[in-house]
Amino acid sequence: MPKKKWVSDAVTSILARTRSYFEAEFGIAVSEVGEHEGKVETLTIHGLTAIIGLGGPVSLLVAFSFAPGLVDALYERMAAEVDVPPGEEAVYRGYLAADIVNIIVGNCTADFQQRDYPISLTPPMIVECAKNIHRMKNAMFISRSLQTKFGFIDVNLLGPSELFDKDLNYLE
Amino acid sequence: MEPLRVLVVDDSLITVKKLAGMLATLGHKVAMTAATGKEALSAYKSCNPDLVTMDITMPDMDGIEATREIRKLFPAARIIMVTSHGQEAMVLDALKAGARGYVIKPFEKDKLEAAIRNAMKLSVRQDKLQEVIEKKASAQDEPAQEPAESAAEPNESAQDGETP
Repeated sequence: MPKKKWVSDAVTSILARTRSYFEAEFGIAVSEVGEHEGKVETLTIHGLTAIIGLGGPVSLLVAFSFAPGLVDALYERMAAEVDVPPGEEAVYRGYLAADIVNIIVGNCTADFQQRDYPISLTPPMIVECAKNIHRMKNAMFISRSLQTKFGFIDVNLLGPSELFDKDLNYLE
Repeated sequence: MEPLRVLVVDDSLITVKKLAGMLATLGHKVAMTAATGKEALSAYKSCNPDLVTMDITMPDMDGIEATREIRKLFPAARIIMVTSHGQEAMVLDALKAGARGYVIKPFEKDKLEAAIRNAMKLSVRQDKLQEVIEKKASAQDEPAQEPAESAAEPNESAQDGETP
């Protein structure tokens, strides 16, 4: 598969897997509300953010940011199954976000069946407050906004510019 | 099935707790936990478990390398992968490293139980396993399909019916 096609497939797969995972695991419906890509110089992330790296044929960082109200709803569901020690609620919120992103992105690798190129994942990283990520010369952003009744999920993909065309659109 | 002592290897505390709860309802007990591949090696040496559940993506040493290392030192070790990683190439790598099953997160009790049963009752003939791996590799030239949630199937195909 051409490398550039890989990026558009990754976006499609991540959005589809996010919808299906939230509905199946948490009973929360997800709809897509907006997109931004390419030329923005600064990406602002807010809410609780989990970042995971995809390696292999194309290197991409995938960052999921969750609205506080959505994290509350997800935490409530998780805490019904898992004992959370007193005082560790905030830590477990981070673990939960990391787990969700790991499962969604990990499951997505099933959609990229490239025999000669096993796709590696990094352990997730957690960012707990608003941050600005500045675009460097050789990096591009693709952003998608998803919505649930408890708040937003922002999905951001960060990758090298050679994956994009001269107008900074990733190729379909 | 006899109660098993299980080493759970995963860097996600939530997964470790979910797995521990599910293993308990299946009548098994968590002997130790480890959060990295390197920790898994030393934990295996110290607790000599009946079964290992192994994540793939972890800091230090990944689950496939840890599986390979444990099997090198303990050829009879029974290891099943419990991971979010669904890429078929990765499933094949895990089986080649010596895993006896593959359960994809989010896991369900029935699938975990089936993978454990298969891992405990089957012995794998390496020549048959190689045949399955080669067939899978050839099949990847066909239109892409998602791997089954539990990769007990490859082991089933590779069984020789012996109880190790």
